[in-house]
Amino acid sequence: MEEQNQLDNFFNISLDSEARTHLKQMTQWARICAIVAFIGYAVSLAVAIFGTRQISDAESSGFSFGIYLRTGSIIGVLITITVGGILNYFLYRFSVDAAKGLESMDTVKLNEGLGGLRTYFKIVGILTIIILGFVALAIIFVMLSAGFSSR
Amino acid sequence: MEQNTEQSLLEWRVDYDGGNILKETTRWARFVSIVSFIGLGICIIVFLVFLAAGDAIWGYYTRLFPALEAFRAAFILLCLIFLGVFTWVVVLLYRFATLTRKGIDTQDQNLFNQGLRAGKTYFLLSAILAIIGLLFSLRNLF
Repeated sequence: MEEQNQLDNFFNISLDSEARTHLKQMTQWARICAIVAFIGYAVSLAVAIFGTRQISDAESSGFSFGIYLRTGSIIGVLITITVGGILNYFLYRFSVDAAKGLESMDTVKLNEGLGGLRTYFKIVGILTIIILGFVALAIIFVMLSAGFSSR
Repeated sequence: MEQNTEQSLLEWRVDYDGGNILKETTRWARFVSIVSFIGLGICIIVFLVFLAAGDAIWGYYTRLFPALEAFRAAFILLCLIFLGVFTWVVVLLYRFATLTRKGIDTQDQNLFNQGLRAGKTYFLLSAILAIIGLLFSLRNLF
C-alpha cells in the first residue's frame, strides 16, 4: 500500500518548464565544474613534475630535501587525480546524459544522467566518511599525546 | 504537431526509476551537507580560538614566517570570506537535498522546483570556485 503511494507520488511530480530549466542549467554548470577539475588535475600534475617554485622556496629556506618533496608531491597528485578523476567522470556523465535526456525528452537517458549524479554524491559521501575517520583518529592521537605529556 | 510536443512537455513526469534515483541522490547529498556543517562548525571554533588567543598564536607563526606580520588583517578577512562562501555552498546543498526530497514525498511541485533551483546555484557556485582554484594552480606553474 505504502509502495503504491510512493509510486503515485513520483507520477504526480512533473518536469515542467521551470524544473527543466533548472535541471538544464544544473547540467551546464556541472559540466563546467567537471571540465575545470580535469584541467586542474593536468595543471597540478605539471606543477608537481615541472614546477620549481615550491622546491626553490623550500631550498631557499635552508631545506635540502627537494627531491623528496618533489616525489611526495607527485605521489600525492597522482592519488588526487585518480580519486578526483573518478568523481568528476560521474559528474561529467550526469551533465552529458541528463542534458541529452532533457533535449530529446528521453526519460531513460535522463535517468542515466541522474544515476551519474547519485554516484557522484555517493563517492563524495564515502570520501567524507573516510576523512571523518582520519579526523577522529587525529583528535584521539592529539588527546592521547597530550595526556602522556602531562604525566 | 507543435501543440502535441508542448502538451507532452507539460505532461513529462518523473517516473518510478527517476524518482528513486533522485531520492537516493538527495539522501547522500543531505549526508554530505550535514557532515560539511559539522566541518564548518569545527572551522568556526578554530577561527574563534585563533582570534581569542590572537597575539600568542600569531606571534608563534610570525617568528616562523616573519612576512606574515604584514598580512594579519588580510588573513582574517580571507578566513571570513572563506567561511562565508563555504557556508553558502553547504546551505545550498542542504536545500537541494531537503527540498527536492520533500517535493517528491509530498507531491509538491513548487518544493521540487525550489530544490532543483538550489542545486543549480550550488553547481554554479562550485564552478566559480573551481575556476578560481584553477587560476591559483596556474599561478604555481610559473
